[in-house]
Amino acid sequence: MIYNILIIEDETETSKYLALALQREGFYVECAENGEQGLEILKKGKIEFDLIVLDLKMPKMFGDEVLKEIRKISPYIQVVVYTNYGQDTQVLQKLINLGIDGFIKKGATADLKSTVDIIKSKLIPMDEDARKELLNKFFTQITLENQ
Amino acid sequence: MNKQTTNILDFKYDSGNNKANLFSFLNIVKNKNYNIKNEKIEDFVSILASLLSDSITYVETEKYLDLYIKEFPDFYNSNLVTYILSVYEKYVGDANDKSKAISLATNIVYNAPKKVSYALSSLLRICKTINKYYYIDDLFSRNPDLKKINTFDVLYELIFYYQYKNDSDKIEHIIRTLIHGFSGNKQILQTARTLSIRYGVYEKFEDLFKDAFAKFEKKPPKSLKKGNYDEVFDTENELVVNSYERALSSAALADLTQGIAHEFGQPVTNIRYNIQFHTIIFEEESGDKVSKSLVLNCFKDILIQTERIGNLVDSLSPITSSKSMPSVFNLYKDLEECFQQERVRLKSLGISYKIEVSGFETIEFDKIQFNQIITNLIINSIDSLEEKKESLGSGFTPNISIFARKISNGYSIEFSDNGKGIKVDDKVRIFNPFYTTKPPGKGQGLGLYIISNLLKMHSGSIKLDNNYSSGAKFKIFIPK
Repeated sequence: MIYNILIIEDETETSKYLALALQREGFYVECAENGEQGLEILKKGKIEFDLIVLDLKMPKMFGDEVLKEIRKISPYIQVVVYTNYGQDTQVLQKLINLGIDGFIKKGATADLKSTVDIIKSKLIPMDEDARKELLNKFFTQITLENQ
Repeated sequence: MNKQTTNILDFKYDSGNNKANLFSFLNIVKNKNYNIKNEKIEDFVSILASLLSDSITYVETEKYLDLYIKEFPDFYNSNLVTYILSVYEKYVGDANDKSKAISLATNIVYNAPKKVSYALSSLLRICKTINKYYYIDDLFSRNPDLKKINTFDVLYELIFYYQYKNDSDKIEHIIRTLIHGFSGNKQILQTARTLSIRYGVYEKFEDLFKDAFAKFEKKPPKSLKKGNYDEVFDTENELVVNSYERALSSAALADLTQGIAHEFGQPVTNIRYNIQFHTIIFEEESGDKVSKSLVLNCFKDILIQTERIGNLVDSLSPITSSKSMPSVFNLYKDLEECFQQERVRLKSLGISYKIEVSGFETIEFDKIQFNQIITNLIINSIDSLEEKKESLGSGFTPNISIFARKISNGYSIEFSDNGKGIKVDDKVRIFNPFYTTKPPGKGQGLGLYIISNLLKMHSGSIKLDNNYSSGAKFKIFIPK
């Protein structure tokens, strides 16, 4: 199954490399340079997107406003916010209330591989080994608690 | 349940969704007891409030209230009316639909002269919440005298009305009225002082405030000499103002650091993504050879990003460097040069400019920094004039003018334009770093911050002229 990803980001250089890295993982990726463009693509509905990567600080429409509109179009689509603006608790609160599925920090600690991994983990369900490992952990914990 | 419904406290417990109880209760209030004492009215109000906030009883209560108001003898002049208005304001309709409260308040304004002030402040409050003031505009145009009501409730709300109208003169006028009219009320004076700070006009009223607050100071103990007493008073008075300024400057610092972090964060992200992406690619290549064009592409992108960082460093350097190279230069010529640099945009927008230097010719200052100050102001003006021209069209003739003169301890340079001006609530913040009212991509919000820092370094200053309303006007002071 091919998953479809939409990147809404005004920094074209950033979205270029993120898109390239995601494409290498087999995802279909489209990029929008601002919120309005992103919403237009969503409204057209040509492609059913599985996940949106959303920047917060963009011209015209701020990321949180875009998210509000996205939720009107599609309440369940996964949205991962990524930004190097992370301190503003008010904005974060608003985002959480609108429903975000992940938060990735850009800037000094930006890491392309972990960004791709986070997105992958949102889309691709756990593989068999990971599930076994988790179950094992869970059972060990229960056994420990019962002793 | 055989309790008497006339007992108000019992009624609270019995009401539930029992309409009959409510109706009979209201009827009793209306027919027999409408002169009930104040505390009973408050009970009545709290019952109404609880009935209105309960979705089961809401509709019936509201309907009944309408009926009740119609039948109540001389309702608008009764002492119930203000309570019902406050219930309407708080509990009836959602935040954006306060039509009941609005129509009741309007009716009170027209029918009950003694309760006008209460109704008007309620109406102003509602308009403030919905951020639309057409009810007030309508009321004021029919009845201009309403603007003259000077109770504290109304004056306080009027400040927000004039903020909405962007009328700083009126705001100042209200603050002045508060100081003069309520000189005996310390709390109101404190409110007025906070408001004056919020709207950046504290300095204008500083002396008035000092005088007004002085009246509340206890007489100095005998052991304290007069000098000491003055000191004590000054400390207390300045405490508020200083802590405000401190908060303002730490907020400005937070803005600055967050802004810098964001601006640098973008190119850093790009460089990191670029290198990380190419690392993956190169690692996957078998052997030691990699494509030359891929490497060159990678380098090119990194260089572009470092240039961006470099530009940002350049634009920040005047804030951090204190080096300056003063020289003596001809002011008129220099100003003319600054305008010449921007001639392309000035010409294409049809902006005319006027330079007047009166009583002196040369000035001593760091020329590069001075040009940075003037150029920044010119660019701001052009942006503002462009926006105004876009909205007004060809009938608008944009202009910028500079008037420089010698004053006792230095030089005064007044820089003004007839652009879109600066909104009342932006006025306090325009000198903060990364604060911009321009559309995205038009500016980093550093211009005025840099200007004010450059001038501070030379013991000069820049201030916005609050009284100027046909655009923006800055007053620059450069010491001799």
